[in-house]
Amino acid sequence: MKQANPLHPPELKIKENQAGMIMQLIHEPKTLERPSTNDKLIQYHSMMYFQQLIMKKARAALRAKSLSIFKNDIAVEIEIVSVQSPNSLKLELVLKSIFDALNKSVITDDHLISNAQVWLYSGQKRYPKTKIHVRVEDLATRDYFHFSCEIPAIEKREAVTYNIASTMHRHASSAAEIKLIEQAFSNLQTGSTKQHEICHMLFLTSDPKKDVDNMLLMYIDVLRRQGYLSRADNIGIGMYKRHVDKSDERVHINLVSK
Amino acid sequence: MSIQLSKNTFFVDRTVFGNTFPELKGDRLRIYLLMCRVVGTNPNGSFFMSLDSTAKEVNISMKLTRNAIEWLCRNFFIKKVGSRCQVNVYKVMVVPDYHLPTDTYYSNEQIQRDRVTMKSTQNGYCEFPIEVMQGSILRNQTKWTDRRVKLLGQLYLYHWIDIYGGVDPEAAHFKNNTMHISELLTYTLGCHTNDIKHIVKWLQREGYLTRVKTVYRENQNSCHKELQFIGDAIKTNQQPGDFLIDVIRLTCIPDLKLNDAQNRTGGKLAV
Repeated sequence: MKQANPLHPPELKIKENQAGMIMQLIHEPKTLERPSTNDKLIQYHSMMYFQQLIMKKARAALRAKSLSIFKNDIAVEIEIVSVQSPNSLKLELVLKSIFDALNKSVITDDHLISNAQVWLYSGQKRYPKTKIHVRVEDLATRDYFHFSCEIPAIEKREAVTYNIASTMHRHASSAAEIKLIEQAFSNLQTGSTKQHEICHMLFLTSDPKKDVDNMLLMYIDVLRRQGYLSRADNIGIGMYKRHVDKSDERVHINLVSK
Repeated sequence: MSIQLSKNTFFVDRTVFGNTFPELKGDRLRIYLLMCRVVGTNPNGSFFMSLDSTAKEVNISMKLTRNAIEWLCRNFFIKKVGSRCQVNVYKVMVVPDYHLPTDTYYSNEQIQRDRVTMKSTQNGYCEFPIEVMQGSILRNQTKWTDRRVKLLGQLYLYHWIDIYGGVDPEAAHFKNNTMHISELLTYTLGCHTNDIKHIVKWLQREGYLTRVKTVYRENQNSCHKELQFIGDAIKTNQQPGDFLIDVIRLTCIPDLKLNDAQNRTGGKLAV
């Protein structure tokens, strides 16, 4: 297998069929890195409070089943039932704040999450409060716990600088990677104008420390900008990672319509 | 409206002011808050107060006080750690994990109740001047309903005078003749936005908070282009593109926090 040149766009293959679209990016799956600064950081307090409330629910659910903190590969499934329209919500960012709530409190590390899905279901107008259901499963022992809460879906937001007018830059290599991926798509002249509502991504990686959500973040906005994934009606996202040898590293993307 | 500066603060787990513990209410909530205050200023971190003086402090009968303390012990909010001269000594623990479907509490005694440990375990807390948790707020449950106590608690939770000049505008701020109230606030207080607006006005009348015009400016040097609080309107030179935001400012604040705010803005708070 020939190795991809890091300075060139990755090889991209796309297949379209009745059910949707299958894409394959032949390169090492990348992760989105946080912007950097030398300044003190401040977090968004609503988001931190949201995470704390989710963490409390998760710990109670884990302990109610007399389970101890999960240490093996993990699957997480999130359902959001809301009257909020999908275009006002980025599902992957809600998932990310829920991951942060679970991290260290019910799972030893979030890089253990190897399967995750987040779904948005439209709630009844008669009962407009947003509900979030979360199910966490240990894939080795098949132990699981789940919990539900009435809480608005709050997206992960990156911390900002404390001092007035202090500097914060996007991570340079992440920005460069995104450009290359974008290029791979623009080089390809596909005739499809069909937008899909559901997106699954499978990451074949040799690095177990890469977080599945951070890999997803690298690719998902490119799919939106390129018009493959609907911005206004994205109702489901799945992300999966599997361990492979370095030479077999790939990203598989599967787009489906509802 | 003048600001009262406080030298002594104590902390309370943030979940106490939401709907995580539906049964932590009435007498139990008052006694719990009293205990947090007392252990916060006591060097050895314990609550050493006779049943009689505890009952007087929260203005309820000895019997009800005993019941409330018993409930707090049974459900791992506090723990009896001994007794001295026939007075029980208690410590306050990190709040338990509460499983609503089975109505079960799980102790978090293993997590040390100090600021560093709590932060690192996602057990965020809010910091109160001790002056806030004295007098009628603990003693008068008709005037101070649970919802009023909890809302004041949540306003302190979002009150970062150095970063926002008051309460984080995303959580709540004044808007002409009305207010913006975040969804998370209404969910966690379990009531309608209008109820919250009424209580904010009431707190304003009672002198717990005031309304301040502040200047927010986009941070051009940041890739997020976030809005930053740069000072009170009457002390700040405005530029085109600035935003004026009417923030909620609590009137009793820790003096160190005000120092931080003056340092960060270069003395642009008018207090």
